[in-house]
Amino acid sequence: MSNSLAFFSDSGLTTPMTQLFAVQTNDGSAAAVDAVAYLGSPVSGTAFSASSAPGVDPIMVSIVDALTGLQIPSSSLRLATSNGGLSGATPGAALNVGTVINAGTAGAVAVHVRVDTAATAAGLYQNLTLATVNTVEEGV
Amino acid sequence: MTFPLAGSALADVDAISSRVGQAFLPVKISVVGYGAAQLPVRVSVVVPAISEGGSTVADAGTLGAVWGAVVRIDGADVTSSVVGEIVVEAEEGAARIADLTLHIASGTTIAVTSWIGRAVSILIADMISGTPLNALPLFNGVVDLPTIMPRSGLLSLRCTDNRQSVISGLTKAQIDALIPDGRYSSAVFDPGVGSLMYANDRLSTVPAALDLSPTGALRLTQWAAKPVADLSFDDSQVLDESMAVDIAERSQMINRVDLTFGYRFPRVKAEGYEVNYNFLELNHMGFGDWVKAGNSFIQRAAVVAALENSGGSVVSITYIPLPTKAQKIPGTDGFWLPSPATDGQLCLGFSAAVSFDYAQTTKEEHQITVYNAASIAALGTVATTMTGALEGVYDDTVAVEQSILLYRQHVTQIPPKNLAPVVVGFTNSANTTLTADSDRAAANAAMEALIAIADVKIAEAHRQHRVSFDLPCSPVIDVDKTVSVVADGVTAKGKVRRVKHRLDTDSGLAVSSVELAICSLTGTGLTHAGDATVAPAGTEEGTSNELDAPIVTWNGLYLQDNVLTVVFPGVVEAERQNAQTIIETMHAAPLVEDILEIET
Repeated sequence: MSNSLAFFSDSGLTTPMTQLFAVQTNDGSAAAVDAVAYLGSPVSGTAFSASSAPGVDPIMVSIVDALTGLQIPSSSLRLATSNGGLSGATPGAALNVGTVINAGTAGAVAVHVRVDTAATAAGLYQNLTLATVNTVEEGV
Repeated sequence: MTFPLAGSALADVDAISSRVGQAFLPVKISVVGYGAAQLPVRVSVVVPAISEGGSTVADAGTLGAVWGAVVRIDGADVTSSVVGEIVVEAEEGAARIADLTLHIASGTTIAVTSWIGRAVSILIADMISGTPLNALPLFNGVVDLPTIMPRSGLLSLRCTDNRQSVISGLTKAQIDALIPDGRYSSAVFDPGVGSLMYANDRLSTVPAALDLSPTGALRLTQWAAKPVADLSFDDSQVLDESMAVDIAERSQMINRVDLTFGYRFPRVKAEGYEVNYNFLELNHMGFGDWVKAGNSFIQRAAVVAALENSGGSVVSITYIPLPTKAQKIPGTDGFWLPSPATDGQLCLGFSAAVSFDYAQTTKEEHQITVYNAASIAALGTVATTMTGALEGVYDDTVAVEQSILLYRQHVTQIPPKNLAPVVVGFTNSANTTLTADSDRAAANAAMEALIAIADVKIAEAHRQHRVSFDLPCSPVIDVDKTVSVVADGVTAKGKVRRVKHRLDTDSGLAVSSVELAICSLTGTGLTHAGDATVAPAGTEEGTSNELDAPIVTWNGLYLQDNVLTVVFPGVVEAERQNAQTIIETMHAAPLVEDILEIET
């Protein structure tokens, strides 16, 4: 049984985000691409917390590397809760988005992502995924 | 107890036992949603020529193009099920639309309605190696309308980038941040609308379009083409006989907006009179002679009563006192002796400042002409009109006048909300404290919003010329781009108003149809600067009418009735009745022309 916590492309949580797409050049010259995904659930009345210790452990968003196919390193991505925080974010590091995420648009958490690849072969790289820790969804 | 369906959990169990030996073990199990949210990251690493638009996978230069679409629905790759044409159309300030058809194996039963809202992404890529290379995004959105013909084996999907819902989901603060130069006035726009209409209201004041990128990011793009084009095309890329130029009719090219804005509000006014009276001086008599003639002295209370009976309020008053020492009566041996007990109630004259307070309704009619001189010179005047109005919200003016009168006459110590300072000899006015959404700042904001809308109307009217052409599908072309084209005898540069990508998986045809919005008068790309958007100055508070002197009459001679009367000039009609002022202003609207030259 999964829960309703998901990524959306807008702060109103109207459009589910099934991929984060970015274009870079093979010579590494392209400017970094900044994108934002909203982590939340459009149906209010519940809250999400880390299943390891609900309300205690932080909900972490990690960059998971499948290590298959064409691969770019996880350090190609930076995560932050604001666009201004991207410059200071550690490449490849997970992001702490708090211990509880309340469902509803007001509770959505913006996850800012910067994609910046070094020179690498042309191709479509799909080895990276943003993933939260396992969470439990409970009524509030 | 929280009980995940995967993993493990510890349960705290409370047991309650009774004396009769029966044990109860309440067990409460909370089944909760459990899982992890995931977001696949796809990074397309392309050669610079592709990302910059110089090359396209649908053309491939001298080689045969092997392009392919990559279509994902809810993250699953359904490319192999796509049949026929994929059409993606983007228009500035509108939702991006995609149409595609999937083949469903015959005999399969599907719940069509379950397709509504599914996430859709479309890429175009070079498939020469069999795997996507140089992939670029064309569309990101959701299924809006699935259509199926029973037993046809085909499921058609109309998809949208969900622009309206995305904007509707924003807060007004987020919209303000997205459209930072937008103006807003509750006197011009309906304050009760939702986010989408609020965004449209703000957009109506800026020459810009708000839409979503092919990856679903909101962005604001100025209508004016950039000085240097993002993309350039020539005969080698533009498809034969696809070039078309469509010139707008003169009647569409509004170059003057006659804007009328009425602002009605009250002001409080005070007429300030100085009343001086000295009966000895007026009659050229000394005190002793006055007494000898048997004349009276003025009752101080009668002075105040006379002033107030005339409708005025005594702001300040000083009296000429009776002598405090004995005065010889001329021609006699007698003396007038002071009477300290009663002399303080009498006087030989007075000097008073008196005010008459009232409220006046003022109406300013701002006649603002927003125009572009270059266009008028080239085309003649093509005018339209706009109107707006605001009424200052204040207390009932009759009650206000009463309140001021009571305060001035010291009947109440509660000061009125507004009081015009008394300036002796003049009518003086003061602004009133209006509500925040009806005061002068609100009126200025309304006028500035209307001027901005008029600017945008003129700019919009002048970018109705269109240059359109087709070229091998170039996904880099989008409605945020400035494109220059030199082909088929047409030289043009402008912002993309509309682009339509058509990928026909059956014929192998991949074409982008581009439409440029062209703002042109001379065709050479001149810029016509406009005026800053500033509300015209309104009428001001302060002194206006110079007042005539009041007339004082006192029947204080021997055997007269001792009545004191003060007659003030009447309030001038123009100061009391509704004031209407017409304020005319000219405002130059800016235009940034694009290049449009056509060889015959």
